Amino acid sequence: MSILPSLPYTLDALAYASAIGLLSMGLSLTYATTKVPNFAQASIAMFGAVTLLLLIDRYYYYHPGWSVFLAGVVLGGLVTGAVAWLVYVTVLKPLADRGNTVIGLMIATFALDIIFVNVLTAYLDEAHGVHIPKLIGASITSFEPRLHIGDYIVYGYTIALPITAVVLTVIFHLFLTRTKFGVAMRATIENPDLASVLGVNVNLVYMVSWFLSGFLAGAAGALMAYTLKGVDPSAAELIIVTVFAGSIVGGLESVYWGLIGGFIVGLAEKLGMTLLNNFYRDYFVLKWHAPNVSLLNYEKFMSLGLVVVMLLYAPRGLAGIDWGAVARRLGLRRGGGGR
Amino acid sequence: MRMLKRPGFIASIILILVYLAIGIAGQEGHLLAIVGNAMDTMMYIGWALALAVIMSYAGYVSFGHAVFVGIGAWMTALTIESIMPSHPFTISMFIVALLLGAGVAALVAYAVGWVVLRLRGAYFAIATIGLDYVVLYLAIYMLSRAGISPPMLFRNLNLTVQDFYWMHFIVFIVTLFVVYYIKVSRFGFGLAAIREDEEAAEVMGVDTFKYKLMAFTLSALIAGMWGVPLAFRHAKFDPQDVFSLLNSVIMIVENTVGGLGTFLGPIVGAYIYYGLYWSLLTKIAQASFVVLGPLIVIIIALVPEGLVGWLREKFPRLRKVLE
Repeated sequence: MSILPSLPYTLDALAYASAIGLLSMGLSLTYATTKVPNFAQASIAMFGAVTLLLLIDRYYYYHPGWSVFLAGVVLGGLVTGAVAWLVYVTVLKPLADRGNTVIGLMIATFALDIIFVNVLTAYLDEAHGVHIPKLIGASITSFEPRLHIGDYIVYGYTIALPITAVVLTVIFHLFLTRTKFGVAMRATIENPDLASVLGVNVNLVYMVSWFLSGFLAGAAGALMAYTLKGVDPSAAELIIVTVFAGSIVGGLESVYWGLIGGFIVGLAEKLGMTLLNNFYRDYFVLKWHAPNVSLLNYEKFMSLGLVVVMLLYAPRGLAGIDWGAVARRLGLRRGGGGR
Repeated sequence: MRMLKRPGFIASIILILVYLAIGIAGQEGHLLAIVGNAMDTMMYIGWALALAVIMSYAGYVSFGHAVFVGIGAWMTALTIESIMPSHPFTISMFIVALLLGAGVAALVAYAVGWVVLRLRGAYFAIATIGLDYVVLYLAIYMLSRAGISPPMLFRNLNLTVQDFYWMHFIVFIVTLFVVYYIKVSRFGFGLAAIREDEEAAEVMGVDTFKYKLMAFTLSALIAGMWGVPLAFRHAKFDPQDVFSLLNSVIMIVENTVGGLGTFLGPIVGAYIYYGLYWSLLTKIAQASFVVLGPLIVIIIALVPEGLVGWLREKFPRLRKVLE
C-alpha cells in the first residue's frame, strides 16, 4: 500500500482546507476591526449550508447542474452575511456600547453559537422531518455534479471550493486596495481613532466587516456541506476549533495570513493526518505489530499541535515572522542589511 | 486572625452549617428531594469557585474546565474498576479517587498551562476548548482499548443518597476554604494585579507566569476533585457527558452572572443559575439550550459587571460585606 492518499482524497482535503481558510479569514477580519473573537463563526456558516439545502430541495432536485455551486456561494453568502450583520448590530454593538469587556463579548458569541446550533437543528427537524445528518447528506451528495477523469470520479465541490476561495480572496483584495471604502477599512484596522478623525464612518466599516465576514463564512459553509457529507449544525462546534487554530497560526490580526493559516491547518488535519496514518499503518503495524488503530479520528490533535508549535516558536503567528530574515538565513536572498 | 472576621469567611461558615443541617435532616427519608437539590447546588458552587481561581481572580477565561472535572470522574472510574476492583466501598476508596482525580487534573493543568498560559484572551480560551476535544477523544480511545463502549457503568457499590451527600459535603468544605484562602492571601493579590494590568504587575515584581500557572493548576485541582462525587453519584463515566463544553459554559456563566473578582460572586451566580435551571429549564427540556443562550446574552447586557459587582458599585456601603 502506498503512503500517499488517493487523488479524490487529496482533492477533498484541499477543498476542506479552502473552506477552513475562508472561515479563518472572516474570523480574522472581524477580530482585526471590532476586536470580537467570534466563537459563532462556524455556526453562522451553517446558515449557508441550510440555504444550500433549501436550494437543492426546491430547485436543483429537479434541475441538477453545476450552477448549484455558484448559487450556493452567492445566496448562502448573502444570507449568512445578513445574519452576521444582524448579530453585530442587534447584539454585539449594544453590548460593547454598554461597556462590556472582550471577555463579555466572547461569552456572548458563545451564547449565540448555542442559539444558532439549536435553532438550526430544530428547524431542520421540523421543516424536513429528518434529524439524521447522513440522510440529508445523501440528498445533497447524490445531486452533485461530478467529473469522470480516468478511473477516478472527481466531485464537483473539490473543484468549486478552491476556486471559490481564490476568487473571493481576489475580489476582497481588490475591494481593500482599489475602492475608497476598502482604504477606509484598512485605515480603521490600523487606527480607528485616527480614521474617525479623518472622516471615516467607523461604525459603517464595522458593520460592513461583519457582513463580509459572514459572506465568507456562508460561502464556505454552503460548499462545506459537501465535504462534511451533510448539513449538521452541531458539527459547527468541531469546526470552530480548527477555524480558530487557523486564525492563531495566521496571527489573528492579519486577514490574508488568516486565510493562509486556515488553509495550512485544514490541510494538516486531513492530508497530514492521512500521511501519518498510512505511515503508521505501513511501518509500525505491519512490521512491528503495533496496535492497529486508525489515527484519522485524532485529526484535531494535528491542528492543536500546530497551534502549540506556533505559540512556542512564533507567538505572533505567521504574520509576526520576519520573512525577509528567514529567506536570508536559508540563503534564498542575499544580504541586504539585516536587523 | 483578622481573616476569620472577614465576610467571605463568615459566609463560608454559614454555608457549611446550612449544608450540614440539610445533611443531618436528610437522614429522614422524606427529604430526599431537598437533599438532591442541595447536592446540585454544592456541585455548581464548587464548579464556579474552581473556575473562579483562574477566571475571576486572574482574568483568564478557560473554556475547558470541564476537562478537569472529567479527569476527576475518569480517575474515579479507574479507582473503582482497576485499582480497587472487588473491594466493597470504604472511605479509603473515596480518598484514593479524590487524591488521584485532583492530582492527575493538576498535573495535566500544569503541563497544559505551561504552553497555553503564554496566550491571552480569546487565544487562551480557544486553546482550552481544544484541550477539551483532545481529552474527550483520548478518553473514548482508552475506553475502547479496554473493550468498553462508553458510557462505562460502574459495578454496584451499594451507596445511598446520604453517602453521596457527605462526599459532596467534604469536597465542598475543602473548596470553600482553599478558594477563600487563595483570594485573601498574598498570592490572591498577585492574581488581582495580573487581572487588572498584567504588564504593570510584571513591572511591580509579580512573577506573572508562575502565578498564572499556580492559579491554573490549583483551579484544575479543585475541578478535578469535583469529578469524584459526580462519578460516584451517577455511577458511570460517560466521556461525551462529562467533557461536554456545556459544563464549561455553565461554570463561565455562573462566574459572569455573579461578578468577577469577588469571592461571593461565583456562589451567588451558582444559586441564580441553578434556580433558573431548576425552575425554568427542567420544565421545557427540549428548549433548554435555546433558553440558555439568550439568557446569557440578557444577563451580560443587563449587568456587565455581574450581580455582586453591580451591588458593590451601586451601594458603596455594601463593599465591606460583599467581598
